[in-house]
Amino acid sequence: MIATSDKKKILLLGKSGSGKTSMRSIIFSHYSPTETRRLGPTMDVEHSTVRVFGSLQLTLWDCGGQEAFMDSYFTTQREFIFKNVEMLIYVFDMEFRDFDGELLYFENCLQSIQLFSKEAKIVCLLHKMDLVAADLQETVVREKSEELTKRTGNMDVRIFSTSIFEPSLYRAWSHIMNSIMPNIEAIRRHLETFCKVADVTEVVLFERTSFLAIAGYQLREIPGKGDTFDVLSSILKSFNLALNNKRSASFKIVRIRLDGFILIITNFTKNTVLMATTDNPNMTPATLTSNIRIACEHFKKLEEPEAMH
Amino acid sequence: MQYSGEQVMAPSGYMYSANLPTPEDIECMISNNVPRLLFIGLKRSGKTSILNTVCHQKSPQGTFHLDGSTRVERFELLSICNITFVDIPGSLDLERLSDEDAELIFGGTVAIVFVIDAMTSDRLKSNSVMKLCSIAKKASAVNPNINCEVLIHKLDSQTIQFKTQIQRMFERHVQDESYETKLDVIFTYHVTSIFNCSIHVALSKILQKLVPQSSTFEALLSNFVERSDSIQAYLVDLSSRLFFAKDSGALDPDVYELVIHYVDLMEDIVKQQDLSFRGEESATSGGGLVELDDGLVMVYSAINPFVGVVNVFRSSMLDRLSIIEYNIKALRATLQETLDYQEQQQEQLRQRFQQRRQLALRSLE
Repeated sequence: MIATSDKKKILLLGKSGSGKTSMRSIIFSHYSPTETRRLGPTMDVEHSTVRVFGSLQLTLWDCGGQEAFMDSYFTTQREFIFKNVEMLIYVFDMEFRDFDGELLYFENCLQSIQLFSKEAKIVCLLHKMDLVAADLQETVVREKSEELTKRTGNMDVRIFSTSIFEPSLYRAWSHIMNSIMPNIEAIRRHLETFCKVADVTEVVLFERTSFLAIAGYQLREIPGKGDTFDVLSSILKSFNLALNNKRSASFKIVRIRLDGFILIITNFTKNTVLMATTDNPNMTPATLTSNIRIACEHFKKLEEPEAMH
Repeated sequence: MQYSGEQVMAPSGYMYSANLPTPEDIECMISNNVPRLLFIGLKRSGKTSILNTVCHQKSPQGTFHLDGSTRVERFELLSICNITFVDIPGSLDLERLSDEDAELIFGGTVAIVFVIDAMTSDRLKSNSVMKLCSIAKKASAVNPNINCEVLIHKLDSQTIQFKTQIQRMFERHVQDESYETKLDVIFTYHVTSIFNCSIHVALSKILQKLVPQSSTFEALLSNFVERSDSIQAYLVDLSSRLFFAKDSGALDPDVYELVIHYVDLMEDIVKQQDLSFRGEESATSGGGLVELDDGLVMVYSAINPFVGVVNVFRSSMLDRLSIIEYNIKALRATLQETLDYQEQQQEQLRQRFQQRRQLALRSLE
């Protein structure tokens, strides 16, 4: 049972040139946003499997968006594509004028999904948001979201506005990953306990290759400061990218100490990176590090539940 | 984008309507007693882009769409020694300046940073060389000690052989031109690009010529590196990422680029926490460490609100980290002493200057 259910199928659909492959390359491979202009169009369907957390594997079906392919997805290949889908990600290109035409394809997708995988979650990405004028962004997102919710009815749908040049990309993908992970609540609970026991102000758990935030906890809600996981993800990702380009290395630990403030970002379990901060003046970096090391043993068990039995 | 813009500009690139700088422009170019870097060059050679990437931390790609500057802009670098960067548009005619203006602009502690676009047509290249020589002539007439630095710019991803070839070509050009115009100035050449750290390296070297203590710093850092078995150590300015000194070993651009990324990372993360690691007194006690999985460690320690030392060593030394930390503490104390001494000296100079003025006034009475 474990072997089959841990491979989750994710469909990436959208018009040709809307940025599906670019997104995938940035998040799961070492591409910088400007490097993605080298990517060519995707032919047919490209499969890639990413192992994210423990035994969880995501199989991304990057479906080429040219009309010939799109038509075949809804006719000959329909069952093959839309069967056993855990999540459907539909990418809308905000630069593309013919939004209504896109909606037709989107409706087709919804019907097929309803037919073959009723339980699938749906995420719509309003992509290339950086090309929309800053003062128009809010109204554009609101209008398009209304259009989309009209069509999805009471299905489980989330809508995000994204851009590969902004942290919003990480926010959307972090949500995508979190909603697929089965033990997310357990992880969150354990992070909370760790925070309280170790007197850590804030803790965030990231996936190691993509730096997507898995979960986080703040000991005290800091007023006016929402979660900034997406910004942190993009900062860490770009630093790691630079290390990768220069020395084909990645970082093991980053430690920053300021007046009465300690921050540690360190490799945690096999597939995760942990960030912990504290403003307790009695805490030293060494205490925090050893606390993290102790917690690591515990989280290892969470990551690979089979090992517990 | 970049090239289409250039083609429009190119025909008028040198035959510009030669404007003399207005009094406001001149006002903007001078500053009392602060070392200055004057960025000069033909239109579209990349002066404003350089300043944007180095001083304002813009991304190099973001500078593609800049319009040509029309007026003189300045940027003041607040650090252990204040330095003014002056961006002089290519449309200004500095060759026909009156003698008083030339004295104002080129007098004092000044370096001319002449930017040449090495990727344009041959005609514009030789125009660049002509302009360089005539400005150098004008400047050296009023200030024989002026530093003339030539940035052979926009060589982004060419081979080393090609870069050296281009550099030799410019050197020969400039030599011929100075021989013809009987010019006796020493030029220093740097091959630069805003897409890697070469521009930072070049500007750091130029900066060090203007900062009187840089040799003291270098000696201190070399001593430190030798005693602590490190690879390299940099005294980095935290806002521009330029370095005021490094140890006397050869510079490894890859390591320096990592140092730049490391400072970027710290700034970004600390900003997320609503704190700051530079510019404030509280930041003086800051420190940090990053360890890579290929066995390189970088340790940062703040010296004062503006500068910090980044020390690069191998992870095999990590078990002796406490010794390194002790050494860093000693290094910080000495560096601070040097900086305090400099401040005292300046204070004394100021007082002496004021006393002298008072005397002069009294004698007038």
